[in-house]
Amino acid sequence: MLSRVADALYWMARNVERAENDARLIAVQLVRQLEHAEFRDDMGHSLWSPLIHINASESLFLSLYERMDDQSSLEFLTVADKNPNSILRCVSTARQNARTMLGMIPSELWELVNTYYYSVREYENETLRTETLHRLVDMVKSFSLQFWGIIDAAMSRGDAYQFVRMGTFLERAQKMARIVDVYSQGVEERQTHQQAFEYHHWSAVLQSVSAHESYVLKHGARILPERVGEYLLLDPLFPRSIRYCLEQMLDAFLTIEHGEVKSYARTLHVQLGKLCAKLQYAEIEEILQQDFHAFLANIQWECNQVGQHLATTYYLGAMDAE
Amino acid sequence: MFENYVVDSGYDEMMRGADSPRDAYVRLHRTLADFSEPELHTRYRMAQSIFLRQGITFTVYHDERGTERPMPFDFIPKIIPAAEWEHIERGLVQRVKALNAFLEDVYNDQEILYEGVVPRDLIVTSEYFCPQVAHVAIPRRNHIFMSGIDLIRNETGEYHVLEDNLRNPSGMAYVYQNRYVMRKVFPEFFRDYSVRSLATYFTDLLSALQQLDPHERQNPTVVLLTPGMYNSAYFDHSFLAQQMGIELVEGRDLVVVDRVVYMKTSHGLQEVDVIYRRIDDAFLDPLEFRSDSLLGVPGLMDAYRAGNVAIANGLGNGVADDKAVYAYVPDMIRYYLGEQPILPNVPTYHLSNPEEREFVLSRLPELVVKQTDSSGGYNMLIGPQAQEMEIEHFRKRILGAPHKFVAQPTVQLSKVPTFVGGGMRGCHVDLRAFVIQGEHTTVFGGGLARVAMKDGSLIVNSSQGGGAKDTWVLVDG
Repeated sequence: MLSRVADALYWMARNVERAENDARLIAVQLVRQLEHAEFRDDMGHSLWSPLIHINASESLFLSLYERMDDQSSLEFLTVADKNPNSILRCVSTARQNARTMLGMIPSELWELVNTYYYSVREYENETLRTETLHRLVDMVKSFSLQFWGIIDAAMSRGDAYQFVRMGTFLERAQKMARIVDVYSQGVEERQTHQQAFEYHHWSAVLQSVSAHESYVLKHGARILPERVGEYLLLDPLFPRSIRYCLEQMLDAFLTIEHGEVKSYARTLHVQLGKLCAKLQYAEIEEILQQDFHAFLANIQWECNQVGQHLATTYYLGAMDAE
Repeated sequence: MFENYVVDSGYDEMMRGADSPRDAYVRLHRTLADFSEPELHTRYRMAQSIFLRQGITFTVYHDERGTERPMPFDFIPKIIPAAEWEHIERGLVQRVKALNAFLEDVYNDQEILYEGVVPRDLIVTSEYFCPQVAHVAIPRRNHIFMSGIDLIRNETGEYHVLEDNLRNPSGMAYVYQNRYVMRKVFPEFFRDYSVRSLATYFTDLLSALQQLDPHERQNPTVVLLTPGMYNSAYFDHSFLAQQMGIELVEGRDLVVVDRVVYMKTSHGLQEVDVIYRRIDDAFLDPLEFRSDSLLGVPGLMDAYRAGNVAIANGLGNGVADDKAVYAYVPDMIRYYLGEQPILPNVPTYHLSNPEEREFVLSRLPELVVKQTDSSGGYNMLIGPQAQEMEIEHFRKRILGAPHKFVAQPTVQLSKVPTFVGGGMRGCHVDLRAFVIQGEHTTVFGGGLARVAMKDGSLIVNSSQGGGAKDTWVLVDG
């Protein structure tokens, strides 16, 4: 397939996934804001600052707004035109990507992404009250589910489908590493109400990545930081764990290469393979004994490398560089 | 719905008189009587929302946020009885055949110019004349893979050719979308009619393109070259590529190596055999035409001349479809085919001819004056609707560069009832018919009926407030 189209498929999927992840994070914080007012950051930071941190957008935020309060944070995360990672911009980029390859994707998928864009645009001029935000994040989640529904039901499992998978799972893995990293740092700094806080904190993290129900099914209602960490990073079956996502990436890659890796794709293969092996054999106790933050930072770095090798291997984004 | 409908001067395609529909429309007229105005409004909104969802929109210019509006559309179809269509079809096939012969001649032996049937100056000085392709052996001598011929009906209902579009005629996607929306939103309209289906033409389109493959491969690689998603006809491009099952490429997706064209795929370069380009000549190859073009492919012309790739439509077709050459098409039909034209032209005066010029200048308020190298309904003087100042302004422009203008009598365009402002009003309409030239010449069964929805306007182009109607060619009667 055209490498420009492969690029568009990959980025469309990444942007849809990114918007969905942000919507889930916002949804949980909205509830948390009401339930656990006592845990509000003593520094006067809003509850939204970790979300901005997860998007690695603090400096952009500070260049756009004078102070970090609920309104400015929420606008920044949802509809801000100047934030390339706001939900609106992600959806708009996904739509642009879809539009450049009409005919390569099912027309129902294009119509969905197009409608999605118009639906998010409707929030641009609304006051971002809690109930408005709930409506917005519910809509984003449901669009994302439809997006995958159409892909699953209507797209042939050829290269196009595999590039969509690669975009989705790389985005998901990277975001998971970032979320766990940011939220685990919050815990270390805090001294008071340790136990109660940890419980609420980690169950919120689980909810943010829609892992709560399946975690409880596996471990019961004991929210232990090391079990949560293990579940989100290393679980072989949970479809958002970093390990699962990277194994999916490896599978998509091998499908594109028909199982035989030729020399041009070797670097990518080795990179992905090593990363998967590392996660397959990792043990959470060992990770926690060493530097948890460094481990997660390393995963993020490796994911970045995978993204870059992917681009070189399949000439993704080569057009923009010319 | 037709209580207050006015049938005034000119030909009304649907209504003979205030309450008597023409034969082909009787059944539709009856069905429409069952609809209330609010019901029609509801249906109309449904149709608009389908267009919006599918992304069939145009961008409102001068709007930073890129507001998009659905294409204007009207639900009263233009109905063409079978016998009437058969006549049009024969006329179109004849016309495109002659135009193709003309292009082949002009870029090779130029006999028609030697014999003075068409003035040499008009051709070789045309900005669309493309010496780069002189004597290039075009696969199957097919210069016009797809053409869009614009037809109008005069005050007696007789069809005339208004314009030939031999370069990149657009609009076919809208024909399909209009039909799709009509079937979905107004299924009752089809109840009493047997309308010719549009389903089979993509096979004709694809095989016509495949036949151009200079290597005559079993399964050639055919691509559609688009300027990209910001082009106003992008929807048309993507739709055609999708329906034919060919790759939709941009200039940056192609590269020429050793006079062979390749597309850049995720697994390296893949040779391209046939390019259906929807980019104008001037932008195709920055090494030969406009050097500032970012849309084209450097070296493409070289590969073309080496016979390694076919390009459809051919280059330099503009020399046969500008408004001055138009007047000679009936002569071309007589010259190349030895036949009388089946579909007449609108009489056209050349302002470079002193006698014709004098005649035209004395009658500007009655005539339509067009600039020969303009399209889209721009740079036109419609005498009967113009202010005196505008007429004087045009007079000066004509005297400054008479060869750039032609004039025609104002044709009283036919009208079709159109739902505007909550009621039916007769609006002027034309028809873009599409002709596909492959092993056989196929006329696309229907076409894009364009309607001037602004009150009294004669201009049907979508850039100037025109809308579209579904066109029904009847299978029987």
